Parts: sequence; structure tokens; C-alpha cells
Amino acid sequence: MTSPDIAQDDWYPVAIAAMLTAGAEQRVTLMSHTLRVTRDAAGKATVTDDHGTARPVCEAHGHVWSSIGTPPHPIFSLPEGVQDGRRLVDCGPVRVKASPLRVVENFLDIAHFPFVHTDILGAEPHTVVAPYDVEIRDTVDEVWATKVSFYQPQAAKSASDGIVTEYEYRVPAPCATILYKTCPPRPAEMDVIALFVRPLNEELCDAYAWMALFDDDTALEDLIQFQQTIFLQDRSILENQVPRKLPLDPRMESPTRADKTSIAYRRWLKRRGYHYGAETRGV
Amino acid sequence: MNTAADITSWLPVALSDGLPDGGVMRVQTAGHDLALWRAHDHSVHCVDNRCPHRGMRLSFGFVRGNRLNCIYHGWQYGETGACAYIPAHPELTPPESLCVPTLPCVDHGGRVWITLDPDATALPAMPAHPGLRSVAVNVSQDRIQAALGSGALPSTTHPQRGCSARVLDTSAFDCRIALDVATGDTATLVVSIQSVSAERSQLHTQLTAAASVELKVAASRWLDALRDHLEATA
Ligand code: FES
Ligand SMILES: [Fe+2]
Repeated sequence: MTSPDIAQDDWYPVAIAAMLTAGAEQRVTLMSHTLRVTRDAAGKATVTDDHGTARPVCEAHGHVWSSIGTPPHPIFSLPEGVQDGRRLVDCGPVRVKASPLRVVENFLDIAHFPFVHTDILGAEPHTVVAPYDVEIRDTVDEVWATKVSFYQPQAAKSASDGIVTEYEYRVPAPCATILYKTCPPRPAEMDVIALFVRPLNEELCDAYAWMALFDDDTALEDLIQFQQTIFLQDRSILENQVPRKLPLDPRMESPTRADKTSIAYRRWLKRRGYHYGAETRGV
Repeated sequence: MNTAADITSWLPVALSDGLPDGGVMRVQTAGHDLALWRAHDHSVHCVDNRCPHRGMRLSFGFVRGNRLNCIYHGWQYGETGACAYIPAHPELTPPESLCVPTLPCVDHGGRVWITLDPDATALPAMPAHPGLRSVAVNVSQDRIQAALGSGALPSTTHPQRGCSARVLDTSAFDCRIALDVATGDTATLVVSIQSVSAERSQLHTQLTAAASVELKVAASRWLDALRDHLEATA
């Protein structure tokens, strides 16, 4: 059984902020509701539903966010998004015929790199997933994975040789996830790559990738192209996972130690009662 | 008339020639989603089309040696369906419980057969003819059998490739059809029918003797006409 209430009170991306110019109007679907997203001459974004009722709206992390419910909290913060010297890159939405939760879980997974992103994010025989730490941070109610490392032949557009890349993963909301990774030109900093997902329904979504990088050299189209290549490889997996929804019953699929982040994510969803896009049979 | 399902629980799901060593293909029948694969020792195998790890369809996988590898995280399944290797943890011996369900699968008579019946008796001897092609038809297996049984078969017109056809005989496993080609050549086509769903089937076809390219083209065009005829009269 799905309980839409909890899910509908979250914030979801409805537009790329920079693409919503003054006077523009975009129509998007969020959880089977049609929303109209506009920006007035003064620069203020407005979202209305199909009854003409104003919906909550905020602008953050390069996107316009809205909700078909009543979000009890402001949107999660992402301080790196406003840090000096970072280049902010919108990669645009990609439609995926899969549950938004499967899309987020795939983003948290490193064991697939050698097989799905062959010779880019991973390559055989470097398939071992070293132990890493995962926790549900109760103070912020977020899932975090830290001390994640993986050998990558070409970790980013700015990397040319293979390196062991270090990662941290953060899930601040069920349909939003952020990755911090070794930044080849600035060893002291971490590049930020985020994925914000808008469910059109429980088995269909638009995924917006957004990056905050220390990379002033790579051409914008190359950065976007790199991210698109990676994501289209992921999509070919996501659209062929059975069932389409994310199973929350641990007996339905067989994780191993490498899947600690996914195990924590599923447990966290279950604990929150977030069932939109989840397969809850057996739970 | 007897249908194949009345007599045998074996279903033809591919031509032997259509599944080379290292090949993987998806098979759907009666609500089952399956992956068919051939190891490099030439043996054929049929598994549930779902990796137990994270649900990826195994028909997208690849074969190395005598193992089917899932495309998502590279888990390797041996010929018994047991998971033999997890690349993220090479030192780990996967527990016996970690396996993908298998179905009985044999390469016999030029075709690959599976059965959903664990007690199915072995298939009788049958000749292994060279495969012609497999054809998808949007018609149920029963209707195709009835159409072939009625003897009203289409013919094709072409100065060299035109064919007229008549049913020679029908068994529990296949139907033999004589083709008379405009050039004066003749050929015998063996047609096995696989039910895919209530509205869809696959015809797996073989020619009983080595044939020239021209003859194969003529027979293949006739199969297109048969499919169109079946779909038009369904
Ligand atoms: S889903 Fe098959 S190996 Fe992970
Ligand atoms: Fe990926």
C-alpha cells in the first residue's frame, strides 16, 4: 500500500532556475499532478496546480522546487552550491522509466562502475569495493556514506589517468542525492555532483543532474556531455530492473557488504514510511 | 486436433543456430520472463530473467567461459544457477542460497527447448536440420495450429521466388510444409510454434536439406506471407 502523504509533502525540482526566464511558462507533471511554473518580470517564480491554486515554491541549488503537499521544512541546504570558485553546471532533466527511488539508489552504488561505466568510472580487474562507513545521521535525518573509495580510469572530465577516487554520499531527501568526490585539480576540495529527481508517477521520473565543480578549463558542453554519457548508461540499467519499484522487503533482493549505502537508504525510507515508488509487498 | 501442449510440455524457444556459444537472449512464454544462454562448452541454459542481487534482467548479461554474468555488477552464475563469483568481493564464497532459478533446457533436433514441468519426460529423437529463421507472429499458438491444420496456406508470386505450399504432416512438436518454388525446386520446411502470450507466438523454422541462398530467400519470403496471412485472418 502506498501512503502518498509523506511523499507529497517533500520538495521536488520542477524547473532549472536558469531556464525559467522572465515571462516563461513551463508545464510539468509531479506525482500525477500538472503544475504550471512561471516567472514574473520581477524575477519571482510561481507554481500553480491545475485548479489554479498556488503551490509552495522555492529556489535553491540551481532549481525551482515545489510540492503538491505542504512541506513542513525548508529545503535541505547545500553550502557547497554557494562556495566561491565553484562552477555550477545544469545538466538538464533525463526521463527514466523507473521508480525515482531506484534512480537514487543507483546513484549511491559504486560496484557497477566497471560493468556499466566501463573504462570511464571503472574497469576490470579493479572491481573490489573496499569497506566504507554508512550512517543515518539522526540529527539531520539524512543518510551518509563516507570513506568510499574506488579505482577509476577516468574519474572526471578533468582527469586523464586512472586514480583511486574518494567519495562521500549524502541523501538529504528521498528523491535527492549528492556525491562529493576527489577533485583532481584541487586535492584539498571535493567536487559536488547532485541528482534531484521529480517523480511523474511511481514508475516514471525526470532526473536533474547538477554539479558544483572546481574546473575552469573544461568546456561546458564537454562537462555536460560527460555527465549525460554516464547517466544514459545508468538509464539502460534502470529501465530493466524488475520490479520497477524499489523493494523495501529485504528478502526480495540479495545485497552484500558493498551495498551498505543502499541497505541504509531502504531502511531509512521504510522507517520514514516513504512508500511512493517503493514495492511494499512483504513489508 | 492435438496441440503441442496436450502431448508434450517442452516448448521450442529458439533455433540452435540462433543461440551461438556465448549468446544470451530473452524468452517470454506464458507470463514467464526468462533468459536463455549458451556456455562456451556449448551447453544451453534457461534462467529466470531477474538477477537476485538488484533485479537486473539477466538477458542483458554476457557469457564468459561457462558462466552467465549480470551486466549491472558482474555477478557470475554457473550452469546450475548458483552464484559463483561477486566481483565487489572476490574473496567471498557466495552462499548456496544465492542462486537464480533455472528451468530444464535442452538443445535437441536443431532447436532449444525448455519445460515448465519438472517431471517432463525426455524428448524423442528428432532430426537436427539447419535453421532458417525465427519469426514473431501476433497470433496465439492455438490459432496458428488451427490455420495450419486447415491446410489453407498462402502462396507467393514471383518469377523465381514464388512458392506454393502444402502441409505434409503435423506432429506434437512441429509441422512439415512442402514448398514448390517457381524455379521447379522444392524444399521442406519444419515449423515449430512457441507460445509467447495469449496473442503472440514465435515460429522457429528449419529446412530439411542444405539449400541455396535463392531457395532460402524464397522460403523466407513465403514465411513473411504466412505471418501476414495468419495475422490477417486471426
Ligand atoms: S543486479 Fe545483477 S549483479 Fe547486481
Ligand atoms: Fe552509474
